[in-house]
Amino acid sequence: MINAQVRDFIKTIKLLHDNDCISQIVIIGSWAEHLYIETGVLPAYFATIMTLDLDLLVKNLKYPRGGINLPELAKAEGYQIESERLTGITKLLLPGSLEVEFLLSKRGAGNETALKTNLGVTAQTLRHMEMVLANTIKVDFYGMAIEIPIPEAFVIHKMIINKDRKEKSEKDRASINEMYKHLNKTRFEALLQTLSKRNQKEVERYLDNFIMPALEEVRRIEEAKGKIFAGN
Amino acid sequence: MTILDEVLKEEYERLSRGIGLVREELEGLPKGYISEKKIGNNAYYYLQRREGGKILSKHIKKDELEPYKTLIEHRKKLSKQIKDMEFEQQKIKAALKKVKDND
Repeated sequence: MINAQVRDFIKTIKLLHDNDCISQIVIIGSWAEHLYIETGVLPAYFATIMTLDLDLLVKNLKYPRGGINLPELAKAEGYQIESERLTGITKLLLPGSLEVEFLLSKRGAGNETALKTNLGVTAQTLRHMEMVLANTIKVDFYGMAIEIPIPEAFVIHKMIINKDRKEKSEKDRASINEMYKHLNKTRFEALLQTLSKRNQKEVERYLDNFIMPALEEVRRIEEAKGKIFAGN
Repeated sequence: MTILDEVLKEEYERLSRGIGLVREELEGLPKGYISEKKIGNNAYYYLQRREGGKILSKHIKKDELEPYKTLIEHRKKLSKQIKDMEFEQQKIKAALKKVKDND
């Protein structure tokens, strides 16, 4: 049985799908984690709580070519539209259920915090999104094809930005460390090699500080079990 | 039922699954605490635990002392994880009750 929040998620995806803009979107954030489990990408992953935020990464602000007015279309479907006063960042709201936010990869020297897109929404710009944009998979969710980052890219991105996440960094670490157990390590290493030296160092720093100690503890526990229970 | 109720209930169930997984892991770990007895210049170690009013005691060989310490420490951590998750469940129960009472 699907709950009301998942129904609203499907409604949002259908809105994007019916208006030919789903191919311009990559789902990131806690909903991507939920989709990893639901679509069998990481079936054994023990996800953290789903939030009300649905983060949609817009691939290219110039698509669709002719432009559409997604807020108007959403309004007709019962969404409330919010536009942040200072930045103009657009949110589509289904109160108490979902807050749909749009994000964009910040490139080059640009220091804009938000940019208008051809979807008719103003998206927040964020750095370090190249990894998730370049490494995605399509999954089927209730008959709709949805694009999400491959889990290895999702985790690497989270590792790079972890130290900048302030009060969210600890919650993020819980997700990253749990998800890391289920990753394809060969793919993880291969992706790591595609990063800039600076970002590679950031990921290595994360691994040294938060992953290796946990792995070392697992190794110590298994070794201790071996010594005690081997003869029994 | 509101969406918030559903989210809270799902989190409650997620925590129940988590508690189940940790309990499974606890099953494979030694129970009790390590006590030391000194006889002359020698120290002897025992794994002890209470069961039905009795104290059960098992001698620990010297080369097994560190592994036992590691596993008992691990057991403590896991037990704390369970307590934390149960505490979160209590908070969810209280929140759900509050919502119901306010309706």
